[in-house]
Amino acid sequence: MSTHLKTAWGYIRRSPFQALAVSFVLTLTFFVSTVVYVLVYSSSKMLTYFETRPQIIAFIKSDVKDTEIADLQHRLEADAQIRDVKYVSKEEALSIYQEATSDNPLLGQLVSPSIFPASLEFSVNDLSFAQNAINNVKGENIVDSVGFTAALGGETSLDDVIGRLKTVTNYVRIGGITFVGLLTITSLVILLVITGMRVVARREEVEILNLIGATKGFIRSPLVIEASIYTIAGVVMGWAIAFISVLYLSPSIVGYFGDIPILPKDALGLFKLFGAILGKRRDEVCFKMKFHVKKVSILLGICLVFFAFTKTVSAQTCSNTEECNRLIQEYQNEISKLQGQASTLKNQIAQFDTQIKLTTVKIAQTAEQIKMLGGRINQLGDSLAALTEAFNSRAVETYKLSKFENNLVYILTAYNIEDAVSKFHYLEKIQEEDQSLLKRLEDAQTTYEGQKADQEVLQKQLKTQQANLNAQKLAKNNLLLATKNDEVKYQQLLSQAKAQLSAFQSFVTRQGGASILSNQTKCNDWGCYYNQRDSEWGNIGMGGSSYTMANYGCLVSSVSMVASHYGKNIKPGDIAVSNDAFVPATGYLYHSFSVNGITVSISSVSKSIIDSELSAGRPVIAGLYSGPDHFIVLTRKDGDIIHL
Amino acid sequence: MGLALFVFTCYSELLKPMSQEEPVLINFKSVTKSYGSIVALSDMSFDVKKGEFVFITGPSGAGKTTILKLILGEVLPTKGEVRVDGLNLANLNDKNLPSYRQRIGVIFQDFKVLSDRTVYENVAVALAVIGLPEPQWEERVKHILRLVGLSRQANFFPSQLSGGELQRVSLARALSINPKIILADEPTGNLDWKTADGLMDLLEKINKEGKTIIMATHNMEIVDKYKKRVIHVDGKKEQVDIGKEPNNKKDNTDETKDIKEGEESHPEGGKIKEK
Repeated sequence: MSTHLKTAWGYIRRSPFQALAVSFVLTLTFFVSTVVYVLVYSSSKMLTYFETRPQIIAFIKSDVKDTEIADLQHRLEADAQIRDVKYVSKEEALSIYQEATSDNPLLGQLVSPSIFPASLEFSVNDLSFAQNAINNVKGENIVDSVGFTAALGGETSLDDVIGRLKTVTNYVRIGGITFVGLLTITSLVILLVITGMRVVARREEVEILNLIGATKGFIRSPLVIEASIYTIAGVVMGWAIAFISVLYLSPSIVGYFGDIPILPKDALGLFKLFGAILGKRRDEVCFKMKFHVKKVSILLGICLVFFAFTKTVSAQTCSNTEECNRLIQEYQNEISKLQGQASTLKNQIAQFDTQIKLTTVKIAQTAEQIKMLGGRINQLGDSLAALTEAFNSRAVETYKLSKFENNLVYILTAYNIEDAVSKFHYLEKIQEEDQSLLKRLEDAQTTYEGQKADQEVLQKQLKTQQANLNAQKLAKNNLLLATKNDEVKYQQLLSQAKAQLSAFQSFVTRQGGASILSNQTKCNDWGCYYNQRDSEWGNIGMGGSSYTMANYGCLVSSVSMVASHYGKNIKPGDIAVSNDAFVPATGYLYHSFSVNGITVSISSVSKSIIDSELSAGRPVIAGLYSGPDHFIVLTRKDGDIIHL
Repeated sequence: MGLALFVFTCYSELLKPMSQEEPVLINFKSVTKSYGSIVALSDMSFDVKKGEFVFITGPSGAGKTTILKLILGEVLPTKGEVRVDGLNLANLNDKNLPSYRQRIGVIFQDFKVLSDRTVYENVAVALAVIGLPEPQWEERVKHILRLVGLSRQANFFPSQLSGGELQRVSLARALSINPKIILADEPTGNLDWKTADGLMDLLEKINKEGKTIIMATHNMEIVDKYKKRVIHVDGKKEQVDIGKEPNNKKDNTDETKDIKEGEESHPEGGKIKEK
């Protein structure tokens, strides 16, 4: 053998280019045939994947008890036609959804597990059982819908996918085998030609060897060895190149095809596959063709929820609002007009009436606004609920899709390339729709919250307006009470007020003005001291008039101080803002009024009472000078000393 | 040697000895060989006993080489029968022809050396053919090359050798396998007298060791000088088996004689009579 090997090696050395030519052709042949083998292997793996793993997914209704699901699961597991039964809980569904929408995490955050259907997934042992299994599972009460791998809704089948895959696989196989066959023939011919050239070149040698008694085996051995060396070199090189290429490319290929095990996932597996190629264990890739073909139309059961969200902002124009606005304008004009007229009781009453009307109208307007806003908020709430529901159902659909589909299936289930493109387009549209749905959901939530806040503001406003109305009515009553609807009495009251105001004014002038002070209030066992010039109320115009507390509020402050002695908390500011405590537009305090539910009566008494009152421990408000120009509180009297 | 003998013995068992009393090695019985319409050999009959040294003479084209080819099994007779050691060569097939030939050493007229191998390799290839284990080659080849005087040219290629040297390569190869029969086709044709003489001495020496030698030649000087049995052929007519004294070489060309002297001289087939 070694002799023949040496002889063969001698042949090769003497004609290196022939050797190279043969080796290269064989390398190419084996490289291509290895690649074709891998293609055939991969395509049949893919086919097997789809053939043997026709996962049927039964989505369970949301309100089903665990025991019922477990019961169904046990029944499925007991079915001889069914294998690999697996339960996917709502939580697992959520994580699958989150993974499927990982490019937009917000989508995953917006949903809760409860919206996703739990599911039971299983495979059938033979595809012919599939339809029967689907029908059976569909008949279960707890099952909402049944999906069949590449299809949703149960009306479609995997058959077309497999049919297409088969076609592809057959093309790959036929094309590959033809190509490899041609290449093999070519390389065999080249091998024969070169071996023939060897034989021709060695004819004399063969003849001599024949004559000296060499056997045919002896003569042929070196030639056979030479051819074997070429073949082995070609096979090893072709195999190695193919192996390295596939090893290099396999991560991205495996990544693209995802779950479909078209190639072994690790280098060892690949090596085994390539080992199988070298070992010509071709039967390994032979796959069963037995397959019950049923023609069911391919229909991707993708039901896109087209949610018609129309912003039905109420088009109903608020005629009341307009009317209210008109009335408000009217009343305001009237008030201005009345204010410009002579200060008569009638006028004053009319002012009150108009004011009351105005406030009533305003209240009506606010009420109307609140009502409108309430309607809008309700609408928004509905929209928000609908949007959330839509979004949830979209999420569920996306989840279901993610359970079934991948890009490859889209290509394979498409009838032609335009269809495939449009399917991709469709998918994109679905994603866009998801995005816009999400945006609308967010907008709706923001608007909803804004309107809610507006509503609260309006409610507050309404309360204030109602309080105003009550105060206005009270002020009117007080005026009527004080004047007994008598113009003379009113004028009398008015002149008293004017006199007092001018007396106060002169006192203040004498005191050198009424600058605003701060933190003057002091409380003790007796009660509180309030300064009319305190910043807390000093600038308030009493009873809505232009006469400020700082200048004219001595009596008000005194009343407050006396009240405080009796434990009644009515601060000067409280009295000052009460319209019904003063004669309108004068800052002249009625002798009887109510503030914060405390009724105050003021009565003029003779100086003689002062002593007895003070002796009895009751404070007295004393008017100074002739006006009186100022009021003070006398707290007690110790002998001749009177405490202010 | 041992191996060759063993092979020979095996064959002997298969063969039916033609004659018990006569150790006939080669037997031509009415052999006619024609190539198409050309008759190369016509109704030739002769025996060669074991250990004989026989010259085959005759003019060019008379059929000398054909006789050798018939013995080697290169061609088969058109008519008649060739038996070697009792074996009818017509019965040889592809399987046993090679081992039959391995017992015969041939010195070719045109040398038939392998042009792309050295002298050493040309001899060694014969050893490879008979299946001698490789470790034994070197000693045997060197011995043979020394014997034929080509030790210095062991690593030369045929193109570097003269005609005589090539002849001796052919001889060395023939001898190397230690054959029972040596066929020599005009071995002195390319040699000067002195060299031819040396070759003849060598052949004679080998013959004395018991080898049967059949030598085709038209060199009558050698025939005359060595006085061996002569078989004269003239393909067109008949062949004359001349005795070991080829003195009447010119006269014998057209005659048919059977001189038995040579046979008588070597009754044991292994010895030759001194010239």
